[in-house]
Amino acid sequence: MGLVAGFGYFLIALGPALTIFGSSVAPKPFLILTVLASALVWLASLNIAAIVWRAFLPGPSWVFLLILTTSVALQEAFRLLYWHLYLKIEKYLNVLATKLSKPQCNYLDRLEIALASGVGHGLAHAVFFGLSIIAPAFGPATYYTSSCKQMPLFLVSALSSLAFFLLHTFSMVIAFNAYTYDNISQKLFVPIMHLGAALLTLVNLLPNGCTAGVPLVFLCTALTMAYGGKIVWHNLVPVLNTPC
Amino acid sequence: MAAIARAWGLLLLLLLLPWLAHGSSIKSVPELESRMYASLAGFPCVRWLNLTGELGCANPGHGAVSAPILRMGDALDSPATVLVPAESFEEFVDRFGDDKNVVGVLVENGSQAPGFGASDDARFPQAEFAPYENQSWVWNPFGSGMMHRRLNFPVFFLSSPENIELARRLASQNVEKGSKRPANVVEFNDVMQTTKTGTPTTESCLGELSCLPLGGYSVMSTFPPVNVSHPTVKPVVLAMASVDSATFFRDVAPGADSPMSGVIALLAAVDALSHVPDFDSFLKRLVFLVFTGEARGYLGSRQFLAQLKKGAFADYGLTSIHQILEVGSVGQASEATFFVHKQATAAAVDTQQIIDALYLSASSTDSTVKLANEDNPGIPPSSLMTFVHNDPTVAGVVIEEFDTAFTNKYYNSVDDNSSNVNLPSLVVAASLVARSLVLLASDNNLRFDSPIFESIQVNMSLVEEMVNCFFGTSPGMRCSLVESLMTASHDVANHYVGVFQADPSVSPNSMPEVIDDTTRFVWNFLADRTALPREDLHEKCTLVCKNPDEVCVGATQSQLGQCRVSSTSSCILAGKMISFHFSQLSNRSGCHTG
Repeated sequence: MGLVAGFGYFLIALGPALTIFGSSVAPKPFLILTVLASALVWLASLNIAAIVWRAFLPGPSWVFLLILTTSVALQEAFRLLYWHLYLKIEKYLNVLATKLSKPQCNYLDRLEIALASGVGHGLAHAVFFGLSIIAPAFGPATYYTSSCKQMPLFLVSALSSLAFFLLHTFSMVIAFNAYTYDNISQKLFVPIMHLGAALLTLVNLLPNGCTAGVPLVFLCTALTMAYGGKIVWHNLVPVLNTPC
Repeated sequence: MAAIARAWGLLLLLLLLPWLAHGSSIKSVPELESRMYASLAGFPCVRWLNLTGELGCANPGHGAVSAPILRMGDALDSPATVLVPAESFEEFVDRFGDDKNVVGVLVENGSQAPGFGASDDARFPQAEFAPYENQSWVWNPFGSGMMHRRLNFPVFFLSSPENIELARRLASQNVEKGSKRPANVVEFNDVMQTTKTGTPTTESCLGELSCLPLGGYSVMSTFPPVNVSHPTVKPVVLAMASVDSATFFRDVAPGADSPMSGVIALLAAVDALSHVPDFDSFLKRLVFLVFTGEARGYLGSRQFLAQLKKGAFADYGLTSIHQILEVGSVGQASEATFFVHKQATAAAVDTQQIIDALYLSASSTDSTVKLANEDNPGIPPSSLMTFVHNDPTVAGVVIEEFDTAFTNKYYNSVDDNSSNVNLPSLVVAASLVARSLVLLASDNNLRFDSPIFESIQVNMSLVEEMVNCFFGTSPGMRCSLVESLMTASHDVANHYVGVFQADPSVSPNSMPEVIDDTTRFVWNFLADRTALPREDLHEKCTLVCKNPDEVCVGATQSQLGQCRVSSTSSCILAGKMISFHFSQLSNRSGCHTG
């Protein structure tokens, strides 16, 4: 298996990431920068959560609940921070654009930047949670946990990374729209979906839980993508050229 | 909002989940990797090459092979690693040795102890070296000949109970699952091949430098020591034994009864003789020889003779041999009875002197010596065969514990360990050897009731210590007897001859890793016991001494050695006999003092 398996899991986890990056992000250099900046911000948030929680591990299994809840809360706080940071940057970008007689940023730009930020977030999650676990898959052996005889650990990990990547990417789009139009239900949707997906991963701990856990997380992802798609579709034509 | 309410409900349910989870958790990626792989340490069967072809085991190609593990008896319809109990190994090889589905074999100790229960060698070991025509005489009735077979898959011997348990568990898991994944797979990553293809014989592989020659150091010591600058010439009585064993699994060759019991008896005899005063006044000189490489083609004895004929030992006053006494397997003699084997062509008078000395010694040590059965075709497999080949009239005998065939059930077997020898047999053999040698050296001028003769006492605790050191696992070669003379590299002594990788001109004591522990110990022991006692304080040393008559004895990691007058040397007396390499090796000096 070896290399084939390793690359397979890698592509499962990050294949769509590469596609989205290649098609939507790469043509615009500013978006590439956004992806990098966003990834760094989110990696920082994950690191802080990890550093704090490392002190309490290994521990009893109910600790997982606390870890997940507090980490999701921390990340959502970072999301708000990110939004305010973005507003500041946008202001400076508009000033610059005026000076250079270029058009100001519009709603489409904001959407694209939101997507790129989401990609950054998703990449950070995939790298942090997925890649290190997938690394041993490049060797000749595989591994099945006692609670999941149906799929190798690496496949579960790769699928989870994929689900969360897509979740984060489109959550950011929804979040930017929510903050722009101050829409309460949209603003609450993102943290709840994030927390829900995170807690649903605990289903994998049950015997044979992975057969339910992985599809359930994908369900959250699908809901997020659908909701995000609906928002963009409804808002796209009317507000396309409105200033940000 | 309704969606949010439902989401909270879900949260409450999820709160219960961690308590429902079972199973141990993995804390880190390295821990994950350690659960994916387990290493099964075992002793390999390796690939040997001789003049005619290949023996032993190897991976078929140059890469590692791997296959799911099954037990012997499970259906072999796809490539598999087979776990075979030792007692069924021969049967397995006979039935499935050519089966393409056998990727590798793991041999486990099985339900009975000991393991193989058989000797790995042929029924006439090394028959091609016999100096007589009857090569179908069965010296080794327990021999399976396994070590002379050529297998095209790797075989490993699992001896530790944990490894055996693990292997059995993995195999039964595979069988329970049937052909469903995931399977437990064994990977054999010890590739045993010549480094170039198309070199299946010794000549081709040594010529292409794609293999290593077997070789080692034999030890020679004269008693009393000679003055190297003016050696006096006296008739030489050779007392010899061999130190190496060979089994199917290269690294498990304890060789307790065959041949190490001979070495132990000889060393104990030397120790007893070292207390005899005025040995210098005796008419003959004793030369002690401990050969290596004998189990693999009599490499030591053949090289010794070749170098003797070239005059390599003239410095030691050794140009020809008068009489030979070889100490063979003497560790499990029944009722203290030993048998003297001689070749019919041996010179009558000189040989009879040896036999008479043995009879005399037997009567004084409460043991029995008998001449071997006349129906035997000649001498049993022994280093003496080399000397008889060279000169059929050589006056030589071999003392063994058996008459017409080996009594040792585990000749060249992994089970020839310390439980296969007993102290009384060894002690009596040592007494026999010591007293016979004194009689021979004095050329029968010593009466058997003289006080000197009676004073020859074998140190029983020395014999016991040697058995524990050579065949024990802890402390093994780090026992106090060995530690007083040298520092061993390994705890457990393995009596495989080894490959020769050193520069022949370099003194072996300067590179302890080149020369194996047992040989180094024999060298130090012989040097110590045969050395002249000195009145003044001995000069300290680490490797060499200034005086050419002296050698540095007993240098260990924690203490310096002493310079003693002794003619003990380690000689490169081994090396696969190929003309190409023979000329290389023989151009350099054969022996090193130190």
